Amino acid sequence: MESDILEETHPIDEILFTDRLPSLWCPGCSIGTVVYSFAEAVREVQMDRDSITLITGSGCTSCLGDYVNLRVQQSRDRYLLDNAADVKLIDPDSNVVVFMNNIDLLMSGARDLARVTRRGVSMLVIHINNLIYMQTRDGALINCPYARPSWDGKTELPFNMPGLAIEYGARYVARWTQLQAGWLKYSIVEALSSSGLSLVEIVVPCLVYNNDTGLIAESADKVGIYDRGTVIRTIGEMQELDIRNSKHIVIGKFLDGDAT
Amino acid sequence: MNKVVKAEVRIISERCKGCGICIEVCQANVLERSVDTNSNGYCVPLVKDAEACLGCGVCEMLCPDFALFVRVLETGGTSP
Repeated sequence: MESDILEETHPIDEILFTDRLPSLWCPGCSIGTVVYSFAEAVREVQMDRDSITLITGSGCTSCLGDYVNLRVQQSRDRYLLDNAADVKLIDPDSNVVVFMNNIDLLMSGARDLARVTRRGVSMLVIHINNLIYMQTRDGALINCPYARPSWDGKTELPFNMPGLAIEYGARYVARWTQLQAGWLKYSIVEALSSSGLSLVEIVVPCLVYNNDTGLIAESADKVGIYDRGTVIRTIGEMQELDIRNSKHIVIGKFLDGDAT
Repeated sequence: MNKVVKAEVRIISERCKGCGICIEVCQANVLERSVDTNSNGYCVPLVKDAEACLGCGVCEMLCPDFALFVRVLETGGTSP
């Protein structure tokens, strides 16, 4: 059965500013994969693009606003979820998507996450968790898989982000890596239609951080570590989601409030 | 054994940064490394065996630079 030629350009070119490519991210950086999954999800649900507002913060993650042909608001860190709630307050029919990194969500936005979640503001929070903090090696890292000492010798433990969101009362919680880009797309599709706050965490490697030893030269090899080190599981125990207590990163869809 | 899906990989070479993820994830070994560079100096992957493409689209999903996509030419056929 013959089928017509579907397309000659990239499928998500209609959502991108193609004249600004290639992007400024490192070769192999998975933020582009997250953008692809999000754009495919928007195409699949056939959402009105004028109703979407992207809110970005600081760091490499914020640069995706330069390449996406949607309404983008770049906020200062600590005010992302505040601004997202303001957009939702002004236009309740809009679809607010917040792209955050560790600094935006955990260092300065955890207070707002609690308030926004408790109030039941409907938005999608995509947390790109690259397990580092400002590309520092020896500092107290808020989401490092290993406990590290802070400046005064105390042990800093990382956050269990999906467990924190479930405790706050989020409606949809999932965690994937960049290698599960297809499932990440379906998670975003489900999260966009969820009624409350949805958190989708993507655990990705930072290709610059801790790569100065030369042991891992290729970005594809560094991504492959996440292929061997993840376990797909849908569980109810929040303690198992903690990265620091497990030898593997537990990924999957952990909570779907609309399905239950 | 008849082929069920016929597809081909299209590479937009000017967007590529040569990370090699598409080569690693391809199960059919369609792509390979090459020394051909684009205008930015990155080594662009080469389509080695175009007939072997299964049309799964994993390379398209995982390419972080939106530099390649899979075009399905023909679907159907009889599987053994």
